[in-house]
Amino acid sequence: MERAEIVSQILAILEDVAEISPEDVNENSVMMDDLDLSSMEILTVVADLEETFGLRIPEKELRNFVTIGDLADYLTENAG
Amino acid sequence: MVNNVYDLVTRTMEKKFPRRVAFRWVEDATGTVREKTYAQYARDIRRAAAWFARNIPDIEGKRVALLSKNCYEYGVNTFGAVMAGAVLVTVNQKKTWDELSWELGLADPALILNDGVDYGCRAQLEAAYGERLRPMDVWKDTDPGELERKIDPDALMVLMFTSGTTGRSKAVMLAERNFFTVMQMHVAMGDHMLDFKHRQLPEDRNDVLSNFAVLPLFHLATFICLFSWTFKGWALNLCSDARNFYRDMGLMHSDSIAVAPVLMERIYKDVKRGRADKLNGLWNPCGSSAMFDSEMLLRLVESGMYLTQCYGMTETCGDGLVNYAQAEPHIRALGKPDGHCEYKLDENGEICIRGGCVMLGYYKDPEATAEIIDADGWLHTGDLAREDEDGYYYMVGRKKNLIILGSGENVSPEELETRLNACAEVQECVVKEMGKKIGAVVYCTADKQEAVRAFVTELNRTLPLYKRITAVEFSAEPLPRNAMGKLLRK
Repeated sequence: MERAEIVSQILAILEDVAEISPEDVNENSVMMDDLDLSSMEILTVVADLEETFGLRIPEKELRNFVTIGDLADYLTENAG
Repeated sequence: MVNNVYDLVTRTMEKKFPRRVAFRWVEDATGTVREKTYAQYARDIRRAAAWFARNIPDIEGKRVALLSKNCYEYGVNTFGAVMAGAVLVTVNQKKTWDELSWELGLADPALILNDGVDYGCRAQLEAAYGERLRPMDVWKDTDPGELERKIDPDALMVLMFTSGTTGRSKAVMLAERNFFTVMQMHVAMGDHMLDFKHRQLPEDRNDVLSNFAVLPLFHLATFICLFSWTFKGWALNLCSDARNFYRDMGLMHSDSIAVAPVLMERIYKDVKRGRADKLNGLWNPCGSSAMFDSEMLLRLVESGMYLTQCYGMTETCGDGLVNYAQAEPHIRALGKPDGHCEYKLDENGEICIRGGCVMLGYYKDPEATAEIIDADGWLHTGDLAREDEDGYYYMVGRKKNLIILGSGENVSPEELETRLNACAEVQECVVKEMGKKIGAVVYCTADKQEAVRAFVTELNRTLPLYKRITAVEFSAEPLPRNAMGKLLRK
């Protein structure tokens, strides 16, 4: 899947889970800082991404997700 | 009332509620709900106790550690290990290896039962503990054995870790009597919940409630439910991963849930956005040890929920204050003393608790124990409060240097400062609570700020989600210090 498409899916899920407008997000946005997401919201976003892309992200990968770009990197590499 | 583990298993589980469901959980492979009754649960506890007794030589007082997500076997191993004479140790499986190796090193377990998941340091764990690492259901092919009533109510039964204020975590020593002292409060809380349900939902005649356990079982707030929900013959609906929150809640109707502030906010947002159906009939969020936003609480009450709030510490086995108020002004309070231990505010306004709920002390740390429990047996909580004319306590501040987060986790600022100071560009730093999150104030020159930010981003990749530094402020001046030269944290 194209990276741009992945990013737009991430933005749509962010808007749904945390009511954050896609215009306020870019790949460098730090989830807990710039976007003010709680740990619970991040996990909800991850769960929705897993459902959307039909994959399960291993526990140890979760630590690497600091920015929106980190999520996009992982999904670009692993989503079919 | 039952006052020991032996009776809880052989009377409450096996005789009183054998056919009731003790646990539910969603099996990942099939997406379907599995159940275990109290009779099945007790039989597996007998298997586990027999296996431990047979496989751990001279088991009395030996430590058995659990390193696992929430699962049915967590309960089995808890009661199986202590019935066999071992000391149960609960450990946060998501900690970094630095922290895990410290905690396991302190507890020196004869056995570590684990879920086999790699949370980031599986290789180190296997290299260090090899043969001592065993699966959570290691006892599954063992025949159920006889149980004996042999636990000394005043002896160490469970070790649980709590964040220290000076860096390393400390292991809280809890005895059987601690757990059964606090059961009085929990049983009363269950009765309050039923009273509400009879008033609010008279058409629902099911008085066998269920509790959605998403907060981790290694933490006392959930661990205590292994005792309290058994007392009532009620069920724990286990959620093993917060990612599955909505899936699991949708598949397992739950009446109650223990929540940290971030979860309470999540529930509130769902209600506010007209998405309460995602919560599948949940009506009792139980908040613990936090001052919640009262507007949020009032809106939840308006939506038909019944709120319960508890204030306690691992060191008091969760005991302390309890709040059933559903309206202003008391809904914003921590609660009132629950009446079966002694409570006071000392001359500084610090909440102090004395009685059967107070821990035996910190494991292998008499100095830290003497700092928190005084010569008269009062445990000083470190939380400052005021009491109103109706006897409700309100939090006004914290004496101890500890960040207590919305996720319910406690974080030592010194520990993070040590990590930050490893950055060559940081001249001085203070880590503290900013809003509801962890922030750092860093003294460095303007040209070094980018390097510091990059360091923090990389540091965060090595930390669990809850422990990340999410705001950095810079100071061009040295940070303020008091007359003794200590950095000011305000």
